[in-house]
Amino acid sequence: MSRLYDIAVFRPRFPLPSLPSVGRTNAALVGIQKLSQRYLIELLTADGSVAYQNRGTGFWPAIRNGSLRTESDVFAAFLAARALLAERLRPQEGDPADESYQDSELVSVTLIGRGSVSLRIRLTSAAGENLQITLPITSPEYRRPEGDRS
Amino acid sequence: MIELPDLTTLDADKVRQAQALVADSLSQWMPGVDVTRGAVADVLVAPAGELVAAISQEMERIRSSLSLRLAIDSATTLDPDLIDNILSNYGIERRAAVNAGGRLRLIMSSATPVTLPTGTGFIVAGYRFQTDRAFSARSPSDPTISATDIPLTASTDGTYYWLIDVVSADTISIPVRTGDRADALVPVPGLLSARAEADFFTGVSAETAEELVESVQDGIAPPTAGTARGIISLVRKLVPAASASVVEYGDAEQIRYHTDLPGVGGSRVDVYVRTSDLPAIGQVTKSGVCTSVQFDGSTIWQIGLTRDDLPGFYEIVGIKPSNSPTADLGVEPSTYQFGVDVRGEADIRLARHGTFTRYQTAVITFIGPSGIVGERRDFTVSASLQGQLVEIDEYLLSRENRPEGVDILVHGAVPCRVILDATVKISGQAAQDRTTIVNALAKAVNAVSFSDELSTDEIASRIAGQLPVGHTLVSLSGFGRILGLDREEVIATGPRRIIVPDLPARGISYRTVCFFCDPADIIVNFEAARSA
Repeated sequence: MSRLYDIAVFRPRFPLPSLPSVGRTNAALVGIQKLSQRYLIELLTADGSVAYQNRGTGFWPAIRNGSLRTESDVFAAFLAARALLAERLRPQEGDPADESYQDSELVSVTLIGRGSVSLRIRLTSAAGENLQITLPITSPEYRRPEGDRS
Repeated sequence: MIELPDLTTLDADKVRQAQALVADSLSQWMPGVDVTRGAVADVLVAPAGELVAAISQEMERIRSSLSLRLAIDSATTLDPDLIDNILSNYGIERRAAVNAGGRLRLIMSSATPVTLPTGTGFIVAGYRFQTDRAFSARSPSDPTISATDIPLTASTDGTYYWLIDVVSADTISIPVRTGDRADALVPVPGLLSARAEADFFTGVSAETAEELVESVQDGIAPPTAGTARGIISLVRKLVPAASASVVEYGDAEQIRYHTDLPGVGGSRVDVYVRTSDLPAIGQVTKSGVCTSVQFDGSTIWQIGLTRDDLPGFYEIVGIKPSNSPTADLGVEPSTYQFGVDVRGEADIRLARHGTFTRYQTAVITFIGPSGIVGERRDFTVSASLQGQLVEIDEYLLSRENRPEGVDILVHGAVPCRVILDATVKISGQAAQDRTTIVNALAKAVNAVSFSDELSTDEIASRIAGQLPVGHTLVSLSGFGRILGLDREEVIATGPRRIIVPDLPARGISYRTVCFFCDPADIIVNFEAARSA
């Protein structure tokens, strides 16, 4: 059975520091690059925000509601998301090993300005292959919800 | 009309099936692409699948509405426009709503011209009514008076009065009686007082698509009197608001077979009709005669009602001296003596055969104002009845409609007055809203056609979505009082299922009885919800 490819969505025409980078990619993704795209989509999808599917993690909601104030907050949120990612990206029968999720690690968090950080994530496939992902994130300005006096 | 449902309310299994269908189609077009997981699945397949599922659900609803058989079996909401279009092919139209209303007498201090714009509100008996057009009043001697103006009439006490028509915002029957006080919601120059000129007329609810389909589920009958269904169609052709039931040869309720010749029968058809949510109130002014003065001073009066006075009436609801229409003496008949005046137009031999028909006559005796024996005085008599009984009877008996040799007799539906007891729990800060609850309950009961029982559970579920915010109906029970053709009352027992007893010899059965529920006959007990 031939490999099935995915279409690249994180593929800027020109490299920009504000966009995620999974290294040099083509329009069609296979192998660990295909896995990395699924991984990023899953990580940045809010848990429960996709109807009729169990998708996403709490990582992006934590960024949006402004609860991540220090680097250690970002690490804690990532660890919580990682546990859910293992479930969300569980391999299915017939998946190639280099497209199957094994583990991920937040290598570093770099502050790059007011409300902006850059995450460096190491993704490992079931084939043992690693890929470094750079994920720049700008946190939207936090506004306390109306009526919230906590 | 196509209206896509909310994409978040679809059936999850059907969405997954639709997504699989989209994925399968896409993979045939682009065999190398992973369409089950990844960007293509997320961005293209998932939303497209939801859209396909939504369109399928809507198409299923439309498909159900295109066939009456499927519509009856369908659990989805019918499309009223499509049902109307199908049934219009057979000349069947949905019964339109008629709002309750009546006439007010406005008493003015002078003959100064006055104009009431459209929408001028009045509170009568606790309900809001309003004018549905502009009314202008002028003195008859005013040179500027036009044909559309209402002339002010001088009263003996120096005041002036004029009459205007008002309607309710709702279809429900509202118990406004002659003389009930009306209060204007906006200042009206020169207005001294206002009151109901006559009992207000009853409203009729609009027929829902479900009721319309239910009424034709046994097949669409051509409006001819050859079959029971055809007779019902004829009645509805004349009075679209009516529901009807037919008792014919072989039915236990058919009590008019009394031939002297053995073996001769057939051709007697009794039609029971209901023309409005609640019985209408008819009124007639009749001359009464004082027949005796009792030793205790009470005076007995007698009035004869001909067949045309209050055709097929159920009960007398008020008798008032005509010279003081606002003075409700509360007199009710002490005795009735019923008869029939057939004039050879129908085969009726006993008075009870003609009960609630246009041929019914009555002599009523009551204790009234003081007088001397032999004195005559005019009285205004009000009675509950089914409207348009005479018109329906004449229509069915017309040469164009009646099969040769068939004797059709039209009765008002045998009335079962429903008394309900509801317990409503109120949560939070919600204010008690009795009016909305009783109106919804009465409307749901009055929507039930001829039937052998009324389920309070079913009524409760029907109005669940109409309750005010913060109100929950926790229990509903009741019973019915049936007035049989023998004029004796029979109780339809409850409390959860009000069952019509099978007493065909007395004209009481599922073919003859209709449930009528006046909002005033509903008791509502409010309970505060316990806080958590």
